Amino acid sequence: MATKAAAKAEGKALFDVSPAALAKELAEVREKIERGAKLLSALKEDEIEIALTPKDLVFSADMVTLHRYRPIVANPLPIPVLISYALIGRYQMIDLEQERSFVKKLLAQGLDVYVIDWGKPKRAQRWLAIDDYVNGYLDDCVDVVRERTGARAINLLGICQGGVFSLCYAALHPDKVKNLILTVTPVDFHADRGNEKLASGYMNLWTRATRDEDVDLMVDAWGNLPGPIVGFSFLMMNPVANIGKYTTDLLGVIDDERKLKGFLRMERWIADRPDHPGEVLRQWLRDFYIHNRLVKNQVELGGKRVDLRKVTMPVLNIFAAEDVIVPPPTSRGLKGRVGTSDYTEIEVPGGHIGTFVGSKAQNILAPRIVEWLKARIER
Amino acid sequence: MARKPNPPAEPPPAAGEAPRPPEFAKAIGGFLETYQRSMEGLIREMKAAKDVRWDDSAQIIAWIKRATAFPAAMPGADAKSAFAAPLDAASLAGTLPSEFAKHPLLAGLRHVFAGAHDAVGWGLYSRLAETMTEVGAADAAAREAQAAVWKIIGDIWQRAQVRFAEELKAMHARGESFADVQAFLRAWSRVLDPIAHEVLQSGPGLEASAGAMRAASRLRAAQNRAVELVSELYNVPTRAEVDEAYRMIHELRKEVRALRKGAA
Repeated sequence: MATKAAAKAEGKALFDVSPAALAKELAEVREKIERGAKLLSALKEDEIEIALTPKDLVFSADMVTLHRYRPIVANPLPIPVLISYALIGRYQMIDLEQERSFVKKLLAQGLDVYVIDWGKPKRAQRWLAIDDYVNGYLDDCVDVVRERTGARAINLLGICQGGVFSLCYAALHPDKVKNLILTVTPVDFHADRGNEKLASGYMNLWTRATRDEDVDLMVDAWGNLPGPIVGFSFLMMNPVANIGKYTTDLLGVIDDERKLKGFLRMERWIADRPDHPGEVLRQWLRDFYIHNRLVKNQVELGGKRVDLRKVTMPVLNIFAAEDVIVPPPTSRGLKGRVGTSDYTEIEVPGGHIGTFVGSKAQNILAPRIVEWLKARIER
Repeated sequence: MARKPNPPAEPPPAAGEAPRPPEFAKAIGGFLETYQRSMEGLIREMKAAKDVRWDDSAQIIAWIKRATAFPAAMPGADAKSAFAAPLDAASLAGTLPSEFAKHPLLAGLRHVFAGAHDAVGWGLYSRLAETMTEVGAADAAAREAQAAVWKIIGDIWQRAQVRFAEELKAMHARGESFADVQAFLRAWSRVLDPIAHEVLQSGPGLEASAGAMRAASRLRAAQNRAVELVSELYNVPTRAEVDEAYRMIHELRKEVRALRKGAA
């Protein structure tokens, strides 16, 4: 606790702040804010750009685009990695800043990396269902990467909801997936039940407090769920910390140019929340969150049942120790449910987003993924 | 929905003058007056029938025309002008007292004339008025649901204050003190944070938040219905029609994609 050490003296004032000290503290805060204001006013738009690692557009369909990052090693691994991010945010989080870019680290480790940008669905995309993403766009992207590289099957890396899409895809198209890597991916959506932790799994609890009719009403009323509502639901997961972020935390970094830019880049990513396609949301909340149908092998996409036992390729399942959005038990629920004996779990320090931008996790994540892949590609 | 402004309020009646009836009441009054006048006209014409030469077709036709003349065209009848007054949901909601709207006479008129009402396009106005009432009710419910969330937040605040008081007391007993204002704020946040999670993750907390979302969705659905009616009124494609078109395009594109994949 940030208090003075116990003086052990009876009658000592709880607020050991003299009027002079208080005035000094306020003056320091004011000066800090003034320095911060100068920094902010001098900042240019391009100084807080995100996702700057060079890449090329190789395919597009509707609002979805597929990019290939330019390799930075002479001979990247022959089988590329396709990254599938969630629809809830934008893929730029994996390439937020050059110093903490997950993508750049993968490239440096010798991977050939492709990423799907799901784009920003408009009202016209209101009817897109998970089937359209998994058996449509994702399948298209996998085929494009296969054609470009000549690989029969490729490595698929899914993040959060994109991990669920990747898992479903691997179960439905096992012949096209060489290795499956899941990061912070919920699989058993009820695994936290009976072991709920404070400040963790709010979305799991919240959805279990709702009914199918509530989800239907929400989707029917809104069409696509607006990005700001999606963002608000994330704010509600940690309200006090979020208030602190824009007050005391911001004050801590406001006059430090490097930290301030980092703060603003993260804010830029957070604010850029796409609308969530209505039918995807309906199935996502009902089938996955409320009824936990994925682990029961009861999810149906395009008339086909997603049977996790058909996931026969090697699986690497990475979860974050302090993940409050996808509690670790919900990720670890995959163990024993897939049809492969080559199943590996890795725990990384930090939270859901920290897995990709936190310095501790960054030192583990990319190297461990590449090490695991190399062992399986070179076999 | 962009609400039409209510028509300007009429000046208050002068002292001693009877209060003016609302627009809709005037319209009904006009209708009844017209009915009465048309009956009077018919009786007058029947009396005048004794002068008609019943072997002269032209005279017979002229008599029929006089006897069945459209009441609104008769001197003094103002039903047409009364019904032609602007009558949208906003002005109706603003001028029609709720008690008057429930009056059995009005309900009876609606029942009897509903078909004609719809046929001439006034049914849409009635539905819009009803929908606006639903929007009002849904808005009130949404505010109530928001109030329930605020109550939960108030509970968090109150519990945190009690726990923080205990914390300060313990600190004092340990001889500890705050060195600066920010240390105090951080200590408060440390107490507030777990309580916020405790309450938000509790049954009532989850129900309040789910209830707010449910109420917001119901409000949105009611607003959508009102916009649909306005779109229909102005001959603009409705949200449902556009969504349906999107759905058809979506399904067609899926079929095309499947055919292409099959052919490849």
